[in-house]
Amino acid sequence: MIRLVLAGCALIGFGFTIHYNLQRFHLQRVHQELNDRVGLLKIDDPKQVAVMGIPFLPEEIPPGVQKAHVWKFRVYCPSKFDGRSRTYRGLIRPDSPYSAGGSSGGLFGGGNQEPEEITSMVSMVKSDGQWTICYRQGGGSSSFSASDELGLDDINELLVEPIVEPGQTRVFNVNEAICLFRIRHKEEAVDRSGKPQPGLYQGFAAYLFSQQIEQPFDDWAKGNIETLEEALR
Amino acid sequence: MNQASQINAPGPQDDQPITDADGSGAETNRKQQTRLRFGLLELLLLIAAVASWLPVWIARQEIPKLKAEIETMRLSSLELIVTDTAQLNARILPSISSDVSSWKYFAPDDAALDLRLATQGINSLEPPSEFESCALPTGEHTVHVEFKSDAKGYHALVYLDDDLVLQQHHPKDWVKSGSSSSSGGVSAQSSVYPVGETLTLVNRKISQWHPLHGRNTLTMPVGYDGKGTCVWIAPRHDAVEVASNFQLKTNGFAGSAFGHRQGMRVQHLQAKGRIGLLSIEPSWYATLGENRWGSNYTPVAISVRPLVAGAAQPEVPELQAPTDVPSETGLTITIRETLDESADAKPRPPSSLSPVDAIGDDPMTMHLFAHYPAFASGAKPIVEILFDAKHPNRIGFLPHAAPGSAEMEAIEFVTQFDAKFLWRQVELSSGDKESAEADAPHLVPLANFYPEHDFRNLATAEQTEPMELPWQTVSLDELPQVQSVQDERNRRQLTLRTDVKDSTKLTFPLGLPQQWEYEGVPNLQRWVLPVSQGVTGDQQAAKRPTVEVRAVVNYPGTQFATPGGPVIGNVRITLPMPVTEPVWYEIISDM
Repeated sequence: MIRLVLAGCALIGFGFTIHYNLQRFHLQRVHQELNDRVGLLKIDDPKQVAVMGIPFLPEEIPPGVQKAHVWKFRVYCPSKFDGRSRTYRGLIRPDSPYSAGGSSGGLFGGGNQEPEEITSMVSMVKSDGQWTICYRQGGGSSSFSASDELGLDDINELLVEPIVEPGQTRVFNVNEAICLFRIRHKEEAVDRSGKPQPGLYQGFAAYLFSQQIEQPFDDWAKGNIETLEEALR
Repeated sequence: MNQASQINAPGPQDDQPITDADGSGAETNRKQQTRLRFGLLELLLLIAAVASWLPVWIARQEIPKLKAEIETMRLSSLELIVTDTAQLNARILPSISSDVSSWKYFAPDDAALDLRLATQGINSLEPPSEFESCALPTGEHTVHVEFKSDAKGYHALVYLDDDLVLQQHHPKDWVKSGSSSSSGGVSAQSSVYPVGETLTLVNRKISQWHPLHGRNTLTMPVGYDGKGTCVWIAPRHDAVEVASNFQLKTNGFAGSAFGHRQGMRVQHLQAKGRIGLLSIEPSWYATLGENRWGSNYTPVAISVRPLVAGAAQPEVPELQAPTDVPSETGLTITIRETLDESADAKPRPPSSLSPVDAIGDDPMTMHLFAHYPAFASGAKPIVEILFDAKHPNRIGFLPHAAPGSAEMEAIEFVTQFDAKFLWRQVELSSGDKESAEADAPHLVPLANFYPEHDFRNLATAEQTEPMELPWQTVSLDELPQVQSVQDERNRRQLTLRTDVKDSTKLTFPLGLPQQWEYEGVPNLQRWVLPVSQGVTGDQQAAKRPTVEVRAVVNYPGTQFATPGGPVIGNVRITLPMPVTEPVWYEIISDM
């Protein structure tokens, strides 16, 4: 009797093994295909922020768009990270969120109690001859017309600095300000009289940081402090 | 020793014959045969059984993780997973611009579907009734919707794959706003939707600027038609569903408000201090700019008070003052669709009202009935509440006596909490009958009704006790006359106006409860009153309504003086019973 039970159990087990393994192999194949195409963010340390570049697919450009440059990031936010974003345009610095004579905007998250993964995107879209820059974080977005001075028509002449390239991943401490994307002129800006503006460049930058460092970040962005570390010490 | 070992110890060995004391070894042998034997074969089978289930356990650990990661990656991809080829399959695609939204869909071969676009009449209940439409191709396709504004105006463009199929354009002055809010019925994951039902791709409503200071945008309440972009998929041959002119909770609204979909509503509030009152939610346009957070925006209310024959005073349905007696709450009104209360003996919540009975055959009118329980005198009034879709800012009241009610001489309608809207002027006829132009109404300040009070002193006095001034009668003959286009009957109308053109510039008292601060457009209160109630001659004077107003110095229930001095706190309209013609109550923007 026990032999029959054990044999039956083994047979059923083999049946389920075949069933589940077929399902697993199928999913692994789909997983691999998608991983090759859009990438997957792997988390080694759940207490750190991880940012991965996502490949941009040309099919994502809708009709009516003359030209588009898009950078997409998958961002892992540890619990209670509560991501904030700031965008800066006009005259920006290459190493800080300080901007002069330009304008800024902001987005905020939902105060995530649990770890979450969000998608951030910077897009530059030319439609009806006008360039529009759009920044999207999670469900929120902001967009504005890009100035002609930025010169997006010839992007190869600009310095483009995404935080990571598609497929790559970088990790950050939660109290770091992450410059997800910066695009700027290679030469320093000059004022109307032709006088150079030291350390300032025509450009656009998007930063992501935790709500916990919002105040020091804003102090840094206003130029009240030289570095963020100075405020966090 | 036998190759099988016994596992159900203790017990004798197989090779040791067992004999009982009475010598009956046969029974012992039978017991032995029922014991389990576990040998090498069983061990191998056990290992095989465990080994066969181990991969199952491992796979079951891995599969959910794989599925979750696949789902995450699919959100970033452009894939549509079609799981039911007989239904509509769709998902929203990641978009690279905030002006453009995209969807991928699969429609079965035999589906007859339309893609529709509207830019006006957009609400959250039904798709707009006026739209542009094109046939939706079957199979797998992509829809892109672009909404943009430029120097020429506003443009809504709909692409099917790469072809522009629908478009609407509006001039620059079409709307004055810079923001909008969107919703839609399609998930970011590939999902199945019934092919026979409407599927909203995007419902984007443009927000209005605050009309007075323009810094804030206003959120339009549910049910109101707005401008924007609405794109949806609908069965081609189905009749177009049009949102009703009226709202009942059964229409899917939150709260228990009922009335005009885009206008004045009555709320059935059971909150302390509101029981016994008909709480009024003015039209959104009448208080445009006012913060209306929450579903219970009822700044004003109406108390219906019967006066029985021989009584000195009318009876009040609501509590007059706070009381410590928990049982004293005021009379609970029951709202029904019929005058006949026996048809619905058990009181029902407004959520169970039937729009079929309330609206009837004419979609332009709705009738509801506020049934009051018996007052102490035995009076049992029933107030018919009328809604006419042609006048969304007003509602009508027609009082009846319930069967078995004590005889009522009159019914009073007394407005509550009017102070909020800072009404300080009464519109009176000049009395010059020579010409209609000369008889044009003029505004009389409230102070003129109180010659014995110095309103300037009252405006600056620091009140320590709430102060109400006496009721003042406004002669019906002094009220401007209006003639109905429909029945050509003459009526008189009482109109109260504010002298504050921009209440956002007022300095409200520090510590004033927020409910009393008003930030909306100036508005007016109006009553349209029957003159004759269907009788003529000597009887007419006895059947005429009486009109009174009362000034208050403080906001009701507070010790805070109203900025700018006394305002009208209450209006009292007294209708001699029986009443054959309704009175109409209206609050409308006075910009």
